[in-house]
Amino acid sequence: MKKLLFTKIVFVFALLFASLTSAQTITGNVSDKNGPLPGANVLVKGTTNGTQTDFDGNYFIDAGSNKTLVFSYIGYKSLSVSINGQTVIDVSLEEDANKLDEVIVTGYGTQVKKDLTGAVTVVDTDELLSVPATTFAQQLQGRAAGVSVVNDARPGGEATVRIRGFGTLGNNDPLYIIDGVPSQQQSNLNPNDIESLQILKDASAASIYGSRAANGVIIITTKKGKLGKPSITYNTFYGTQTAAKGAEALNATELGSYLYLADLYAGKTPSHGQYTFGPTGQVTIPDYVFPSRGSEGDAGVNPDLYSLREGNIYAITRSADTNWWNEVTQTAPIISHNIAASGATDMANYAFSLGYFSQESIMKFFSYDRISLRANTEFKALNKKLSIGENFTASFDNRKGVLDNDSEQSALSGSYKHHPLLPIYDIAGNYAGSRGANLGNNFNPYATMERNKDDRTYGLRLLGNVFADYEIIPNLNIRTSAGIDTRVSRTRDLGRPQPEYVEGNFINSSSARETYDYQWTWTNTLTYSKSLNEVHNFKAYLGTESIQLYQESFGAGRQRFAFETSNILSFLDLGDATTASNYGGVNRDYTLWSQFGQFNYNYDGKYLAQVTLRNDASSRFQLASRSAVFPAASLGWRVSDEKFMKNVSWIDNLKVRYGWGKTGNQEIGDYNAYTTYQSNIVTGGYPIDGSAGTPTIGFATQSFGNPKAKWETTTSNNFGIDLVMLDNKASVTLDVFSQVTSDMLINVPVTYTAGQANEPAFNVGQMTNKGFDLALSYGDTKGDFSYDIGGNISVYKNNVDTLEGESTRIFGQSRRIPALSITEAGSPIASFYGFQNLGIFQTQAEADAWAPYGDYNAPGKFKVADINNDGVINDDDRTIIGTPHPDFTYGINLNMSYKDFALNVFGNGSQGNDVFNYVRYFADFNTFQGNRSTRALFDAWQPTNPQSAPSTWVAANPNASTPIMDANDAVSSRPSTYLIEDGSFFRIKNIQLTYNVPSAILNMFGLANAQVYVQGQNLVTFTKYSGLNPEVQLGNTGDSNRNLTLGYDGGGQPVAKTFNVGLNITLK
Amino acid sequence: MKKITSITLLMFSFIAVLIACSDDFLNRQPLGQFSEQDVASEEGVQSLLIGAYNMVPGGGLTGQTWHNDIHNWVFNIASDDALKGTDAGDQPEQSFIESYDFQSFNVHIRDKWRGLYKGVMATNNVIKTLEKVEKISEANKKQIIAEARFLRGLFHFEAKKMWRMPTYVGDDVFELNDLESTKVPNDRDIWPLIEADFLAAASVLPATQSEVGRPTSWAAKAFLAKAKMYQGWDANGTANTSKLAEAKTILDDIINNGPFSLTAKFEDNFKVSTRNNSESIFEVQYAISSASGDVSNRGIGLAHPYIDPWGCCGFYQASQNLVNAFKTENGLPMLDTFNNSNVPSAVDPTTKLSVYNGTLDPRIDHSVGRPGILYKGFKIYQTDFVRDLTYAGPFYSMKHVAEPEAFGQGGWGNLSANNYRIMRLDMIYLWLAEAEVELGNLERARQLVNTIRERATNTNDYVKKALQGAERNSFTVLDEPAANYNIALYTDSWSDPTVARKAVRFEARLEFALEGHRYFDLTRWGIASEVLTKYIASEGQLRTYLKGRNFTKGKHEFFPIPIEAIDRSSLNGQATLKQDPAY
Repeated sequence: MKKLLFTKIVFVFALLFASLTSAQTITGNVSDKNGPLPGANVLVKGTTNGTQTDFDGNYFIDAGSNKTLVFSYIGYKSLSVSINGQTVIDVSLEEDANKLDEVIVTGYGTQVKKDLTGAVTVVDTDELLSVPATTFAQQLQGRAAGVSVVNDARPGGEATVRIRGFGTLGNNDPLYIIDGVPSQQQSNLNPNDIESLQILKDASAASIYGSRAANGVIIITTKKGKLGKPSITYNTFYGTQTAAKGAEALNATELGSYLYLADLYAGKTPSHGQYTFGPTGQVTIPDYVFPSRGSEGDAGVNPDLYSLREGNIYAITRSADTNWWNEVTQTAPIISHNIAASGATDMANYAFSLGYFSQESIMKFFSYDRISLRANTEFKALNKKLSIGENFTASFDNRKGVLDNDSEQSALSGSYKHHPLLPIYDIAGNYAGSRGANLGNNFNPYATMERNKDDRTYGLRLLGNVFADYEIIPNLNIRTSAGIDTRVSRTRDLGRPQPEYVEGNFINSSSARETYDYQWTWTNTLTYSKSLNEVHNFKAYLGTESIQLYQESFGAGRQRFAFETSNILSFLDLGDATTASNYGGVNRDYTLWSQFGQFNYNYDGKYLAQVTLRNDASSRFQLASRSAVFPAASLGWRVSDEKFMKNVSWIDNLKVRYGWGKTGNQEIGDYNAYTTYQSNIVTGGYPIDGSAGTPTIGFATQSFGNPKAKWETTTSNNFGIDLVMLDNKASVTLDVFSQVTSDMLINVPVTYTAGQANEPAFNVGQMTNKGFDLALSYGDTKGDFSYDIGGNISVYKNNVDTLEGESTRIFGQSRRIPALSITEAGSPIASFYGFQNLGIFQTQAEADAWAPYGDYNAPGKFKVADINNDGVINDDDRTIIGTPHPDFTYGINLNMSYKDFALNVFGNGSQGNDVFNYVRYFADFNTFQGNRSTRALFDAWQPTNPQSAPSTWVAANPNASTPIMDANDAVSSRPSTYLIEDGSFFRIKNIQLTYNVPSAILNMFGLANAQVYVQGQNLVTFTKYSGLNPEVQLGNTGDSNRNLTLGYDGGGQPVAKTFNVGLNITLK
Repeated sequence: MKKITSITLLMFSFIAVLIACSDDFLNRQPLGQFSEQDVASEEGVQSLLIGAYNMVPGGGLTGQTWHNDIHNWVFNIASDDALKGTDAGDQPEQSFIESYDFQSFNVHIRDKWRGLYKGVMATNNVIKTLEKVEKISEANKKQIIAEARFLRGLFHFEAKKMWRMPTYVGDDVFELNDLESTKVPNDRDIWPLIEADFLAAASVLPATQSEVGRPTSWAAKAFLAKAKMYQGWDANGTANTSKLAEAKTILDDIINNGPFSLTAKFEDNFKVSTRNNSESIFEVQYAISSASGDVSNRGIGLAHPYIDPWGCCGFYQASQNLVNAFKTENGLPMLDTFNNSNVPSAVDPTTKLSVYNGTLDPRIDHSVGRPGILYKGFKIYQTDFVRDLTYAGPFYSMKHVAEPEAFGQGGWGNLSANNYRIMRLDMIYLWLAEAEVELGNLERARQLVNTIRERATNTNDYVKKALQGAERNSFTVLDEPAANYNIALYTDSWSDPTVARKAVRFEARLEFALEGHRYFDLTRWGIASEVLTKYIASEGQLRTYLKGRNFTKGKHEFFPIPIEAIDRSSLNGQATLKQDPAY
């Protein structure tokens, strides 16, 4: 009815002004090769007069007969048609491989891709979904130039995302904007719900997010209903995962040989609490390891003596030859189901999805489940001037069991450290421990996993926004959006006793922890766009935003439950109330208030300019420095639209861009300005009255304050070229950047004489990142065969320019060895630090001739470089011995299709980075009792004449890489180049063969579309790295200083080799 | 148009409202923490003072709970009394200390520094915060300052034992909110400052305290005397008689006028049940509840036998050399020949009792776990107490371990309320004996030593023989001594100061074995090099990892200043702390 009225009015107008304007109504149909295109845009060129096609692809528009109509649709090449008096114009749009007309969300507004002037990467969501993963961030690995992603391979693990290197010593996590709602969290989003993902890499693009944008911004838009009839889809896959690589541990006999030789070469008479050694080192394995070196028939192994209770521990245990890696790993399933329904009319759109994802770990007794629900709707009213809508997701996830990365006592570490003479169970079927002599102090790795199998971490996340948008006058819109990101996490940790463990006990326990947080965001924008004389195109917006974030946690625990079944141990009420403990406090508390604006201008699409300004005021800074302004400007020139380029037929699109801008970083903790105290017994209590049971509570400093902290600022310059050529077959995007971060905020190491408390952030120093991002693609179609190949490469060079104030050298984490990383001016952040080994001494003469290193120098020992040439080796000879930063990271993607088949191959890699292999500390050296790596025995330097005095030793294997086995050696394991390895790798992440079910079959089942596929993940990794996985996590995510120790492998779950079969269908 | 105007107005009024309230909105005062204002009251300062006491045991640092333990077992393994223990790979930083490979990046040395100066900071903060308190009596104010100065002296004293040139931070420079205010160069002798703190404390503190954990004037005097005893000899072992005379005055005062008396049993100084006894002058207090964390003697938790009920971790074993020192000849120590033959660890294969029949000082079995002897009432000690017999031998430390009646009251069995008796009367006697030797009063020295030996002769205090039961943990106690104990007094008068000096020092070794003092005693006497060089030679025969190690005179008496402490002391680009020139 309305349409009819509209048509009538148009008709009347047309009659009245026909002679003046030659206006006329034009009708037609827009389609693509598959049929009508509902929702395609039809615009009179140079005006804001436009419409959209209806369900059947039809449109009406009035326009002067001398005008031009522009037809566009996301993902298709725009088409311009001169009216020239026609009244019916039907067009067919072609899909656009380069998507130049794609609308990109670039902040609080949108831009057409071809008009972009900043460094923005758009990632194809189909590509993302080809990698089954918990989070989109894991899927992002290798997909975008300038973005480095390091995965945590555990089910439910998150990924560490770095955009263009390390901008600061402090927090380097990018900001995520999900349907306009900011978040620092990746977790819990269903990747299937993502419609598009944009990465704002340089300041000219990102500075609209001001103080939170220094590490780049990832903008995620979730799926909305599209005009047309409802679409119902179902996607599923099932896969099995196996460990891609195992631990290189010795077996029981080999370990015996190692121990014999280590004693022998140390000048000791070889002896061991379990093994018996023959005169030339023949290894005899005992029948029993508890009692130590027990033999069948001994009085001590009489099963009647067996006891495992408090006050009498005599757990008789037979010897074994256990391959712990095989015992703790498994073939594990991975499953995903996803049902989605969506659609739209011209007055409303809706999208709904339900997802289920479940993954077991390749380590036993650990898994992750997630159920997520999403509903996105939008309604229009008041003649389409008003639209209101919402985007919401609720997701619930559950981590079952415990699997720690980088933990000495995890099952993973146990798989290479736990003694192979030990079985899983003792003679009574209880878990076997290492109480016998010389068996080390590892947890039984299998028992560790099994006992934690009932631990749970439940997470509930609600994320979304409601918005209203009103068109005040044509092209002037006011919009308000209220967003919320709220999470509740509940952990229950059941402590099952491990009486068999040498340091164990009989006390069970249970603890519960609950955290909730909310962040609300209220954003208001006013947007206006205008075109003048068909060539001057303006677009601008102004806005305000306020954000509040708050997080609190609470926990409690009890011990001594009557039974250890999970339904008893899970509930604190059932424990002994006299053992109760609890805690609670505030974790996060911060507010941000901002005003911002952006102005875009282009001249005929050829000359592009953008200016951005944002003012942020943060509760984290004191009044004097609370606000800061972040400006940015960028220019673009579409060279290919110039007249002189018309003859260059092989170039379809050429744009050069330059952008400059400032962004900030305010991740310094919420109360940085204040010195505060805490009063807990551990840090402040003392039994001043002599009580043996109740300490008096005292106060201790909790945090030092620095009221003078001001904003950290990153100033970036970016020069980019976008080139599309060879009839749209090839494209190149190159961005060259330089980013200087000044007034770098870091929680500085405070001088020890000031005491110890949480260190406040100070503005210290400056850091520079320079580099380039390059993305290339080429594709073509030959008959039924089509292919495309794409690649990207990311290069950054990081340098700490200055560090001033409190400290000029900042050490990273120390473990059982001193700090292994150093950050100092003139070197990249977190460079590896230690001794430089020049090889292994082959003879006593060589050792004697070298600068003395205490009494360490001897045949078979490391020849340590005398860095300062002072003639002795000591701690001054430590130096930078490696870099965790790659020369470049890259991804390569290949798609081929022939008729109904499609093949995708995707790989990614990193080149030139070093890894600090801390696993070797335990596995290769004379450290804790327990197992050793194959290197420690087979690659070790050995003499041909071991029975002679060491001074006369002759090398049996002069090319050995590992030092001599020596039971008295505590020096070789110091941080040195031995622990540094080349971490370069290239991994074929995905090989997928897809069959598109032909329409004849589809019709039989009432399907519009169906695909089945088989897929192999992580099938091959090319690397020289000896550890389980060259792709190493950055330390703990909660630690603000985790960037000070990079590329450190403390033992993490390796990636799984996965075989999947999948099915995607769309109902008719 | 009107509508547009009204909507625009509405929007800008939103913005106006937001701006108006933005100061409130953006002003976030810390939640869930105490502010500086909160503690600036009498109660607050008293609690800050408790926080300073919390640093005395040596925990209270993030990242570790034992490197800075007040028992100093972490550093005493460099002495001839103790071995690192456990196995070769466990805590290599400990092995480096044990074998005189002192590197400035050793985190155990670093954490000692961190912990002590955190304690110093806490005491200065008490004094400075007190200045802001208005409602407090002058008397209470003086008491608080005196206690704070006592603790400040104690922390600096510990630092002075560790480093040749530590720094001293006083409340004259300290500013809580100026983290650079404490960057004080280590370019002066801090003994006068340490003495001044103890002296000031002694002049204000009362002779008795209602709360036993607080120092009395006697405690302050005792530490003042101890500080002087530490200045009693130079690096070559030459006595500084004027310092020793000063010490003597105070020590005499404590003995003559103090309210202290030796306990009847030597063992009572090492049990939970006899805390704060008549012999105690100052004890580091511990309490053990389900939540008491670092004040529950956690710092020495690793130094428990590697068998149930402790299990962890096997650190701090006793050396053969120490065990041999307890041998007696006619009831007297074998000052020169004690190490010529070893007290064996062998046990009878059937009875599992010690086969050694030589005479021993009875204090041995209150100090060292020996195979075949009941270990502090828990069970009969065998080599399954140690983690790697071939690595660190058969003997184990004992004094700090809580008796069975006090075991397992907290979450971890190694926690205990077994106070560390850091200052007690037997120390006063033997320091005085040391001073009297140098001041020429040899007979007085003999008499003082005999007072200590007299107590050790108490047969009720002897460890009893126990027979192994059917289960590993079961045993029967007999009413007879566990070993052939024979201890006598020095009856012959002392005329040779060299012998007297040796006898006094030997007595200190036996009386305070494995209490964390030996290394610092050797260094303060200026004899570390000669004693330890011999020790390395003999002990290295058994512990092969000690073979070839060297104690360098003029260097290894003190530890290097942690490199991170130097790095972090940077002021205007210059480190205010300087490394010990010996390193």
